[in-house]
Amino acid sequence: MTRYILRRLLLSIPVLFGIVFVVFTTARLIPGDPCRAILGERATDATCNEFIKRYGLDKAILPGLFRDGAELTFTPARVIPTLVDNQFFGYLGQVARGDLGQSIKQSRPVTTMLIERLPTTIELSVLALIFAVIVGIPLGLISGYRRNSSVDVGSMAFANLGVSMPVFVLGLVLAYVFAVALKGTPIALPPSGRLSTGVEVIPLVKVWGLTTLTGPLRVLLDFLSGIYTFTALITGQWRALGDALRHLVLPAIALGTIPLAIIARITRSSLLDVLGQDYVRTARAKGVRERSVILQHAARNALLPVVTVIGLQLGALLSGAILTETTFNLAGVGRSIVEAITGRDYAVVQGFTLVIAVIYVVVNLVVDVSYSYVDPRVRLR
Amino acid sequence: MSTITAPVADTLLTDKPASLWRDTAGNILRQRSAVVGLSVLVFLVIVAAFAGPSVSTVNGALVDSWPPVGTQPGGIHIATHDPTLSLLGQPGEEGLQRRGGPCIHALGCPATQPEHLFGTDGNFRDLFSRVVYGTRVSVPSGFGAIGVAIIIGTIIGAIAGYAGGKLDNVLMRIMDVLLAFPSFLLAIVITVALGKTLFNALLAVGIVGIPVYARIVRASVLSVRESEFVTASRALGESSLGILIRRVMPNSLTPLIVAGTLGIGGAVLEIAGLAFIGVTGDISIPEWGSMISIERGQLFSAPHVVIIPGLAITLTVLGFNLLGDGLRDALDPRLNR
Repeated sequence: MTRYILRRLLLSIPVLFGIVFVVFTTARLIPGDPCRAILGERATDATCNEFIKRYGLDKAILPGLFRDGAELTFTPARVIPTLVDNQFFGYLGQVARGDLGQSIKQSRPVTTMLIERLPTTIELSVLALIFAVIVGIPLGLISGYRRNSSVDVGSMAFANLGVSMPVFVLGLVLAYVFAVALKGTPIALPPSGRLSTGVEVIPLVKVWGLTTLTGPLRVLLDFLSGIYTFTALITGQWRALGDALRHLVLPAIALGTIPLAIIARITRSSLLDVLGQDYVRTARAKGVRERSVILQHAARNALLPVVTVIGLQLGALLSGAILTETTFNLAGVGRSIVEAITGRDYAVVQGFTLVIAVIYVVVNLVVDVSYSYVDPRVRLR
Repeated sequence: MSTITAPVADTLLTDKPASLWRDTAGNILRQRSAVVGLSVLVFLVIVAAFAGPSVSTVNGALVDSWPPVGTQPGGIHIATHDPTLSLLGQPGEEGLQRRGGPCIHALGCPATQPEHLFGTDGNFRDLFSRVVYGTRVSVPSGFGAIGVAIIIGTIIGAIAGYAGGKLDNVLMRIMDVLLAFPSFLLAIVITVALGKTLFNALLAVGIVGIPVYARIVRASVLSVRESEFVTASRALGESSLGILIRRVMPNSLTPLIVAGTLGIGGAVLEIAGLAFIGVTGDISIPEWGSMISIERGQLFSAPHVVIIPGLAITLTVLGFNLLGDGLRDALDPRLNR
């Protein structure tokens, strides 16, 4: 097992390298003069020259590939001299030292921005996934068990609609229904933001009196404090917890609906497969209660493919998070990346996408490993 | 034995000879979801075909303009107005409201107000006409994006599967890089890098879709490469390319069609998402995603300008998804349930 995990981690290094390369080059191929995109159209040549020097943008992007203002030029003669001394290798070296660089726009380290914004996205995605799983699996089991009943037809129609509706449309419809149509009723919900004005979640370091703490532990605590529901829960800030949850309901439903629909469909078809198996018939013949036949015998096996599908939904969740964050005005990773791409903030684009890719790779590994626990027939080699 | 063969012989004698295509078509039409999906798509294609005269904007100026207001446009035209034209101050539009709700005279809307089936948008344009013209953008761009993905994916997959060895390894690792990444994010980066236009968004969605099709084609190439009919063709002196096109490719057609149909729905969603994010440039083009993007701030005061285009996207994607599900059930008997 340990060998398998190590091998998978080693194999993911070239993939991560490839991702850094793709993101790095495409971000730099964005047409136009980066200096004027950031400092404004009226920046003088002198300011621009200084700006470009300061951020090392005068160096070769890749061996022999230069950007001069809005123009990209490739000089074959300069490939050899810039083989190592170029922006790409400079960036790789930086990343290897754990430095993701500085945001040009905000003059702050990218890591600081990540600590601020990643928790929003993680909180949202995890809640959306929980919603998708706890609604999707029972829905799929019931539909499969009562095949062709009105429950089945209804929930599969709902599943079809769920995968066909864009996240942002569902989000906006939900926002309209719960914030406008139901305004004044007890089930009205806020359509944007993470907390109401006047409500705040006191960070962990303050609650525990560790404000002088520095180093990695401080970073971890600050990061966790950004996950409002978690911090509020473990420190007993009940009012803030309720408020944060109320703000999360609509975005989590909007983001979780597509995974929910997919999980329900897979659960249903997988249960139908299993119900036709001999051991289910044997269990029934032995006189096992129907409830146990379904939950103990059939569902346990039917849920194997569902585990894989849940893992596969991660990419969809992160893609959807970009749209959900835009729809509900949440300052998460997705929205930051979009803003950074349009604003030519290279370091932010690279740093954020790299972190997302790492999370993606790690979660996929966790899913594969967990699969061998769920299904003992699977031996990882 | 004879009791089993007799009825088979009977059917052979009485039934019309079944052709491959007739069989397949019959199978597809027996799938309820395929029929519903196909109906939705036929409806959308008709709407797109008969939307009205071709209208396009270049730098904001109207090209090939809509017949003057008040005159009846020739032929069948579904759209009632020019989708790119502000109706403010136009004759017959007295009492026109900005982002006015739907007004249908037959349903009791006062005759003093100009008739607009879906109301008007923030630029005093007829929303119904914009939504109708949107079919001309979304349906073809979904097809276009998946077309790009299938063509490039097929070439890469065929080369990888047929050549094998190092080339296969390199190509598939590149595909892994594309897959190891939330596709929508990559599509945003590529769209911005190529330049913010709707066409580039289509290309980007196509590019991020390549690995799926490359894998499908590679898998089926690998499965038939060593089969006897391929060896036979080779013995008959057929070239590698000929074998690839005439012997190997037909075997990957079914999974490609199924994945492609389901993929178009996804592509329509992604293109609409890119437009919603605001990376598709010209916002006067009647594209559903950008229509929502421009007006999303008005959700609470004029929900129709946001929700109606949203329903149009949903209907289109639903059509492709239902057809794809039906095709999968019809063409792949192993999955039939």
